[in-house]
Amino acid sequence: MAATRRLQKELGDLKSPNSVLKKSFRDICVDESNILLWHGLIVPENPPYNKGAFKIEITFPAEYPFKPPKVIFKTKIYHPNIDEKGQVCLPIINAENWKPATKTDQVVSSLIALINDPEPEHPLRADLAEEYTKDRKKFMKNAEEHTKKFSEKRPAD
Amino acid sequence: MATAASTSVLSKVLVNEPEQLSIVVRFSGNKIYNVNISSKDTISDLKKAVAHIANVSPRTLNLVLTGQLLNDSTLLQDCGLGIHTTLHAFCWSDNLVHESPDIPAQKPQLFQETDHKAPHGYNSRDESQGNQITRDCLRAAEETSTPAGESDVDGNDFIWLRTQREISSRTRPPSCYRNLNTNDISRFFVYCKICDCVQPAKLRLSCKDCGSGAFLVDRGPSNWRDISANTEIIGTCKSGSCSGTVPRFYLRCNEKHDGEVEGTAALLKHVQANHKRVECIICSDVMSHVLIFPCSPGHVICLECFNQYGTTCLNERRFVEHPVHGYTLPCPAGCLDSHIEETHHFLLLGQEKYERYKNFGAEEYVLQNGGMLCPGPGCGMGLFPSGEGRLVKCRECRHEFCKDCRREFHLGGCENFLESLSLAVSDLRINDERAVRATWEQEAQSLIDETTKSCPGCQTKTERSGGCMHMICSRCQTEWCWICVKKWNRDCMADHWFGT
Repeated sequence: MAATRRLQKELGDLKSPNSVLKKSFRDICVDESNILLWHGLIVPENPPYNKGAFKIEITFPAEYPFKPPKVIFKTKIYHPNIDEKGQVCLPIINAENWKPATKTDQVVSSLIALINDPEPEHPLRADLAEEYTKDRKKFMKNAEEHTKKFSEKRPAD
Repeated sequence: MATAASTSVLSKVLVNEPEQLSIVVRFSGNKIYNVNISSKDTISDLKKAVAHIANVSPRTLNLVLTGQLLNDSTLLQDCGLGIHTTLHAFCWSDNLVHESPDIPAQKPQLFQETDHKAPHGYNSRDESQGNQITRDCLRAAEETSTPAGESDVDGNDFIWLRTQREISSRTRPPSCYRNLNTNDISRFFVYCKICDCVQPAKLRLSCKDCGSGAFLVDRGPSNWRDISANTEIIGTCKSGSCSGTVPRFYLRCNEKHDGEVEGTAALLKHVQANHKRVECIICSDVMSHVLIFPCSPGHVICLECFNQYGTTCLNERRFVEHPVHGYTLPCPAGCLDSHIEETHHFLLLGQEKYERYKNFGAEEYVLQNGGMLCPGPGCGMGLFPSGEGRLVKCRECRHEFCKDCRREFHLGGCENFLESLSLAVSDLRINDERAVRATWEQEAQSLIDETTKSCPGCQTKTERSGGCMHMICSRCQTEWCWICVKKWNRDCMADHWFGT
């Protein structure tokens, strides 16, 4: 099965010390019995999200890589592009944009970029998008408080 | 199937042991001789054997393979002959033999016109024509000058090239050719419908007029067009009184099939042996045989992943109608101009899916060109209704339907007809055949109505199997909202992207 072989390789690459994402995407955890389900921790660089870390879940379809994976946030986040259920709309994994040659590290990089720099033009939470564009100060304050309250602890190193 | 194929072609072991060949020599079109001979013997030895049986002088005898004369000093094992390969034989006339110094001038002038400035190597695909063969030929030709002992497994090349090399008699083939099993020499791959898998193939040619293989070409083919039906290559038929000048190239599965008929082997021009050991763009494994997309980077996919790629795209109807290459797929990286150029490659999905592929392709063609598909149960005939009226009658199943709402034909507006259909159910009368029929259709229709919504762009009944509310029609590409059943807009994005 193409999915298993490829995911094993991708996992190896992401866990390798040479991975460019080794600081921002860590604690990658995959159940041996199901390589199609990954958990990991996103550690953003930019304020207001750099006060914490966020757990995500990546689900790969059996047809991977011919169908895109799905990404869900397991940690609450105050972000215009991520809704209360943790759903995120990432263009790179939209069915119409998906390319089988796209690797999971690119998906995660794209996700981290979206966290660090929200895109209020394509919001999932219109209220937060409005706040982000109209009153950035207020947004930053709310988001930072929210991050401190709900997010995961950042790894020490 | 593709998996089996990729292993079957791989599993050939390279040997250098003499092999006993049983060669079929077809003499002047109608006499056939079987000659048993060792692969270590030369063409000259074979000629002597044939001349002896045919009772002619070996000096006047010529053997032809793929339009080229075989040189006396060539070892049989270097000719790419299979166990039952047919060679064609003819005799020079006596005066030609007498003027033997002139004979070389009549011999094929190969590759004289080849553009030697053309870059060689698989990945430079900037020419408009897919003249990969030229590059391969050039590359292989250069390899002849590589020092002996510097063996490269990709030394498989064309029979005519080898012949040319031996006609020029400058060098012996490099050692790598002699180490190759004849089956590995083939550079072409076909989908053999008899074996039901990918197989190495042999390129053969015959006279277009009389079908005889005793045909000499003026030059070897250097691009795909050269071996197509529109070939510009000319030559001379050596069969009896035939004056044919046009060759007809064809490919045969490397396996011997009894009673093999033409059309059972489909050329897979994008499939190659992975001699460069490039990893698959999908699974990143290095497989023995791969498909190389015609994009400029030449993206490589293994045959197993190609099967899965095609199957997934077929199930989701994500093939595209290309103006030149037909219903096809681009490379998985989405490069421009990367579409599979020969639809026979989709035979790699297996014959059952290939049939479905052909159906989808035909439907797509109809829809893209302003036609419609008959909604009659189990029909789906492609129709191009003419005239102004709403009534369309299918010429296949005789079903009559309304051009606007695609339901069975009705008088009055489509909206009114929908209401009357509901009434027909409640107002069912026994013994009224017409009413019974309406009920049956109504039931099927209501099931479809419950589970599907119509695309606001093309009215195609669409089922949503998961994901967000943002729908993209696989037929007309309209972006629409599953909840509003209207074109996708900002409100949908803000309010109910993932449902209410």
